[in-house]
Amino acid sequence: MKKFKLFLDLNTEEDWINGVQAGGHRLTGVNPFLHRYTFQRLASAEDFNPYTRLDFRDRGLSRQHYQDYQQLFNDSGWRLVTGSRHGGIQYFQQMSPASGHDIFSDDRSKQRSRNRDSRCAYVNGAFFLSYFYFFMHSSSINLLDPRSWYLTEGLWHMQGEWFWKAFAFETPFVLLRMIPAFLFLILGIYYFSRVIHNGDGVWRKGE
Amino acid sequence: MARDKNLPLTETTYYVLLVLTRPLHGYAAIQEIARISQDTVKVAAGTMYGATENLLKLKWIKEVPSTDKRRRVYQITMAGQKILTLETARLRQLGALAAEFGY
Repeated sequence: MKKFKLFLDLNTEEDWINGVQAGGHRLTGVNPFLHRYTFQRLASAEDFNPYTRLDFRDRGLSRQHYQDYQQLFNDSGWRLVTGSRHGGIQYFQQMSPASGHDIFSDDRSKQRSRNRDSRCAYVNGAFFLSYFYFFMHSSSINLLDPRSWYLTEGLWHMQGEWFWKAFAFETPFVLLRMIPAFLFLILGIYYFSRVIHNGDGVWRKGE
Repeated sequence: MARDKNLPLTETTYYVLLVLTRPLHGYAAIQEIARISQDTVKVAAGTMYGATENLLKLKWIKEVPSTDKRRRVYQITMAGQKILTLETARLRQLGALAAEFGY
């Protein structure tokens, strides 16, 4: 079973995953770019129904350090479902009921992982929106007027075949220009929504 | 007397510094903490990883060579010992104070 869903914070995402799993499913994979969650039906109702918990890494780890990170979780009875050593959300799943219910044993360390997520979202949001801002200010393009997306001189005064040829010629370039701009705007808004939703974690000192 | 701004330590931090008196990898530290606390303190993996990361940054522990390539091994530093001594003195003082009140 595949589900697409967008979340603004890690706790809501974690609760949703565990809610779906409670209905007799197990998370088997996450595509972080498409926000696609893959679940597998448990073979029988008696099958062990594991918890899935989310950690967040804000900076990349070397191959060896990432192996050490995963090994510590494995030793403690948690299996990595999806995650990248370059950072981002790391999805861990219980290997047996003996593993304990959570990957955090105090509120502080859990909050710190949430703050890392928030800070990362802030940096990403600032990057995407400033790219978008500079893009809009360095050109005569008006986002709401598709005609201005075409830069060919006098295009809109051309007639007949000339117009269509010029129009068709420039369209691929327009798409190459405008798709990233819209994408960056949407991503910027998404990341800043995450920051606002997460509250003041970004500004708190410490890890 | 001004108190060190890093005090008081969290229970997890205190236990981690204590067991890293000898070199251990993360999971060995979790097991050792469970053993010496008679299973009352069970540090979870995410909390342990965050604690070692933080203590490395503070230079209270350091990484020492490991024979196991998949597990990094840590040990307390001089700075770590100093902070542990300060915290222990603070806890002893609290204990003595509580005794005066009949607890």
